[in-house]
Amino acid sequence: MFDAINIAVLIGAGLVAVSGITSLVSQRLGAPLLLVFLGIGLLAGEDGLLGIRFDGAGAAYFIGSVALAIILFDSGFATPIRSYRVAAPAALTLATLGVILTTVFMGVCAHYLLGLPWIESMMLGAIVASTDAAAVFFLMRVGGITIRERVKSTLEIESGANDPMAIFLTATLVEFAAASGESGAEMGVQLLVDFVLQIGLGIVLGIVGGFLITRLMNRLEDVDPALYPITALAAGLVVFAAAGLLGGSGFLAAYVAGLVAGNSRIRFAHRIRRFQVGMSWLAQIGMFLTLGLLATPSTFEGLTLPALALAAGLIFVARPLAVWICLLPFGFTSREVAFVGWVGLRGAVSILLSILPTLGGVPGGGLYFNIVFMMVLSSLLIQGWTISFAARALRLLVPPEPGRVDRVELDLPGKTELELVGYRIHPESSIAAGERVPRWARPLLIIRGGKALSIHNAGPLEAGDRVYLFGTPDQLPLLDRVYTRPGGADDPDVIGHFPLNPDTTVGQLSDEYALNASGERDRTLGDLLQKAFHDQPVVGDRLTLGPIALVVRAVDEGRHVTEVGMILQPGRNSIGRPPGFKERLRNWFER
Amino acid sequence: MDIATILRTEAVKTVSAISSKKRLFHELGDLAAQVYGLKSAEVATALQERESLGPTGVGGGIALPHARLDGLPQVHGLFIRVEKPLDFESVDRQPVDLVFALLAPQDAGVEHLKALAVVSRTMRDPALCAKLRANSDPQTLHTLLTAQPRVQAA
Repeated sequence: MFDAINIAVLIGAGLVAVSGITSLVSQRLGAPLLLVFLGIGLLAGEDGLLGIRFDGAGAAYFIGSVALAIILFDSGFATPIRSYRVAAPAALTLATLGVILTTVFMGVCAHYLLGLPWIESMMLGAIVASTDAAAVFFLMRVGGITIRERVKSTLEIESGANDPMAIFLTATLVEFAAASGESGAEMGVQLLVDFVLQIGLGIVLGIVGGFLITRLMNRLEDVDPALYPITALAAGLVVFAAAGLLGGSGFLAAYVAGLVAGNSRIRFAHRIRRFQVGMSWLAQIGMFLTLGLLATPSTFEGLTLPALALAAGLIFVARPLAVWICLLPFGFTSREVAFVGWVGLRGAVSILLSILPTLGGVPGGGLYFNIVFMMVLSSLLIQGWTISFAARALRLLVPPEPGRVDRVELDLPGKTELELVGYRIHPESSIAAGERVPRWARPLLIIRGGKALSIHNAGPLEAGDRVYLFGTPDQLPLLDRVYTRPGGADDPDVIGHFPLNPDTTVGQLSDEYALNASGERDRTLGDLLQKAFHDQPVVGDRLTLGPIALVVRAVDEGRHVTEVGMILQPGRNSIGRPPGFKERLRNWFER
Repeated sequence: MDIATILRTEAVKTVSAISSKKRLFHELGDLAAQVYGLKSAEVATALQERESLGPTGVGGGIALPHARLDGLPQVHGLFIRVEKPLDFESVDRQPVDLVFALLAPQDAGVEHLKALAVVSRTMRDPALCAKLRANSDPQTLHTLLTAQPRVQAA
């Protein structure tokens, strides 16, 4: 008996450890890490090197569900409500309408390609309708790319919020497929009732749960701080399960609860976040490994071609079309729409859902798992590998945050505005060249050759020194400039050739450069950008003004434009003032 | 459009030190008067006025002051290398030592912007800037500035 335990632990822990180690390899190769985890699962599985036989669809679904609940709770917890302000309407449209449209489009594909009955086709559509939070979050952060905030937030919120929708649709369609015989009208009514119940209860219970978690955490006084994150996570899972038992969507409740708790003033928030990052990794590895183990590639035979055709339909038709329709009213540029359409990564959630037909007793349920497995593989391979390329090609990158090596937010009592930041002094920075450090940027602590020095006994700063100091959030961009390479990240096509004062008026600018601006001459540039982007400007937002373009270079915490850049010859890359709906439609057709 | 068409050899100069931004604009005004026969004070004022919209120090020790003026036949360039960098309120708070000024005719809105783009692109080349900083002879500086591969002005 002890041998059995040891063998199980050896295999389980061994696989997780190998997955963790291979993350290094994947970083070097740029291969999507999740693909590697899935690959390890496959290698260990029935047709792989270890030949482990694992057929527990039920067990896999259980592990996957818990893992997904953890991931969703964490992704909610880590999503700042700020990005909701920037992107919520578009993202939530994608997460609801987008999922339905993708389901329908893929349903049609499946019906004609595989010759499945309509309900089963739609079920397959629903299974692959959601983008994978883990895949999207992760892949947008690797490869050292920084994508424009509006686009990034939209994708991230969508990927977190659409899983519950896809799960709901799939579960409902599985029920229909298993219990055929009801009339269409009955099904429609039941679908609607279920939908309202699941989503409504999920949201309400999530909000209530989130508040309760926050209160609970803030009430726990003398508990060992190490227990906080565990309690928080367990409470998140309690919300998940309770919402599910009460008839709501547990996944949605977990996500919402995370969102509420993460954006409340909760004690030890940083500690909880750090713990959750680790748990989230473990959940992802666990989920992908399990699903990889469950798959039996030798049974894929004969399905490869249809699966690839379906994957192509998803990647090139269904997703882009659904995204295009959903984003039509939101003033996204065609480049942005193209990118959102491309980053429709499918992942573990789809594979997880494809187990449902088997569990739900749909005849021939194994078929869905195999097809979906191959579709997800293709999506990870094709889309996952090309994200940074696509972002570059579509010019959606903003300059990365320069050279900050550490940014420690401290839980300081009282005024918590200060942050401890660390920099490694860049050899080409002016400081390394012997420039005096401005008084407001003096480091508290200098680490040189493993020794901690104070500014008084360190002498002049040298390249490679690590410096630590306190700064307010608005000082950070200036500190970046002091300590890191001068002008290194400033591509003028992105942040403009010249800086302009935000309180310069349109009239002044027009006179200086003969722009012939007729209206709104008294309006300041800051105000103009503020209005043009609905009071939610983000760095990188552009507005064409005749032959030049204005770009938002910096915003403060209150989302006010604090620096404006002027781009010469913006050419056709420019992103115009968000036009009215009709105008937007016209622009679309002219493009 | 390339640098050679807008920058005459005489309009390139090395100065050991300049005390302030204001003094720099007067220096540029004097140079413009000398080379292109413009009114020194007018040039200095126009450059100073443009500066009120936002500093033309683009970072990395480079400034590209510019303005439109009455009575110019074409876009004119001026280049001054300051051996001791001066404070210019640049975006990156770095003092400035390479100054490329552009003066454009009042009616040359688009030409002006094109010239600015060309100069801006040229001056963003770190290799060129390093060479400019390593030389002080005006003739050499002019050769370096105009020897740049023709950049597309489209």
